[in-house]
Amino acid sequence: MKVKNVMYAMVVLQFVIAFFMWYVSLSAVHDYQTIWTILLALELILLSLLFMIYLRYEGVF
Amino acid sequence: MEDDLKNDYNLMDAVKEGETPPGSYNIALRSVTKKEFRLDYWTGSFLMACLGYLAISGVLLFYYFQQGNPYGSTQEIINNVYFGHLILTSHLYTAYAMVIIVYVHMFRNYFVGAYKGRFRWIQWMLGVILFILVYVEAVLGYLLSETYIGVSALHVMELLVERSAIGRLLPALSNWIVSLLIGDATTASTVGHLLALHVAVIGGLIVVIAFLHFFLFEKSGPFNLSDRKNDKTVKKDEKHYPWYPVNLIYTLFTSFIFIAIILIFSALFMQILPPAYGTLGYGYTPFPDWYIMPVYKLMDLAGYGLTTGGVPLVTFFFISLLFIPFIDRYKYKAALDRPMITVFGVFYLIALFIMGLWGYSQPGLTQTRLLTMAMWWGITMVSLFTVYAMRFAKKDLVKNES
Repeated sequence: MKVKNVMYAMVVLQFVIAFFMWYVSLSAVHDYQTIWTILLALELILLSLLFMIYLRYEGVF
Repeated sequence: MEDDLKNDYNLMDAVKEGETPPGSYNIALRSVTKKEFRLDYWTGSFLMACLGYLAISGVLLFYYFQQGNPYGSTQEIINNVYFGHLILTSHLYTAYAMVIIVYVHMFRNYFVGAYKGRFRWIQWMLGVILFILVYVEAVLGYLLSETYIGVSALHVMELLVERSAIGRLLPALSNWIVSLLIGDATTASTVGHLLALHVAVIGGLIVVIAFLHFFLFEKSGPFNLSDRKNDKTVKKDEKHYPWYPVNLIYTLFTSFIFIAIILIFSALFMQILPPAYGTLGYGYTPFPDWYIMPVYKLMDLAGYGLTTGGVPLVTFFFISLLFIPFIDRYKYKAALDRPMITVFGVFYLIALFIMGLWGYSQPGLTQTRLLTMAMWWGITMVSLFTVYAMRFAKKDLVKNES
């Protein structure tokens, strides 16, 4: 599996998660802060991993 | 080897131009080499991430917090403000994480001897001051919601000030310090004072000193762990990566992962607010948060009374940490080459865990003098024997290898 494909897959996954965040925030139920925050955290982790993989791909570490 | 570890007391040298010692003294934000991408080199970066998150979430909480109605407005934040419970919980958990990482950061630099070198001594001292300030900030934070734990802690703090050596010798001074804490003792005034201390005074000091600490780090560069100073071949091959974007990406996104983990924890384990001060709470033993627990238990164990035994002991601990660069006269930096300093560090590490756990199992129970002495000597012996045994083992190993 190429590194490029993994990165594309991560971006697609981020879009999917973003869609669910949008859906949850539109339903505007107070108790949904848990699920929304976990989705946000997943987005942050995916975004960070994406950049880490990119740095590794560029041979930084 | 010895030149590298010498202190430079002329701080104007730090801003002198035209010098290029190791680390890049000329540019404000250093480039990094490949071997610096290890997480133990970046504990400070996580602390900065914590500081940033605490500032942002703190400002958001500040909008909804009312100093005249501290407990009620905290409940309001939890129940009625959108994402309020989450912001409050993540503010708390990030503060917990900050305390843990302060310890990790401090012990890491203690055991590798990173306080040795030109301006590293002042960097270390600022770091210890930051450590104390982070503790003060954390305690002030949990006094704010006026729960029964917070108010009990406030009473203990007042007593400590009033019955300390300062309070006995200069009652006027101790009254002034207490009035800084609680104002005229009405809820609005007390919480107003605590809020000002938490947000503006101590928070501001932490930000300013943290940036000084960081600036000094950028001046000195990362501490060279290797003792092979004359090994020029290693240094020549190192490729330097610019601060922007490589260093920035690394520090930003490791911080994002870190904050994301805290957010997941906060979402899954929301904070439960303890009962308000003044409600009937029979059967509750008010005991403090985990990071105060070792100090709290130390007061039980001191064996010579609270203000004559416990407080001087804690003060001694902080002062000895503060002056470690001057206490440590060893000419080497490896932990086992500075045995007594390492023994002190190991002693403190073991004592911290024992006191914390003991504090949870028997909070507020005064211990006998004999038990206290047995514990202190026990920990002393354990740390002494461990470090010296490792030293002998290392010598043996080196002898066998050659």
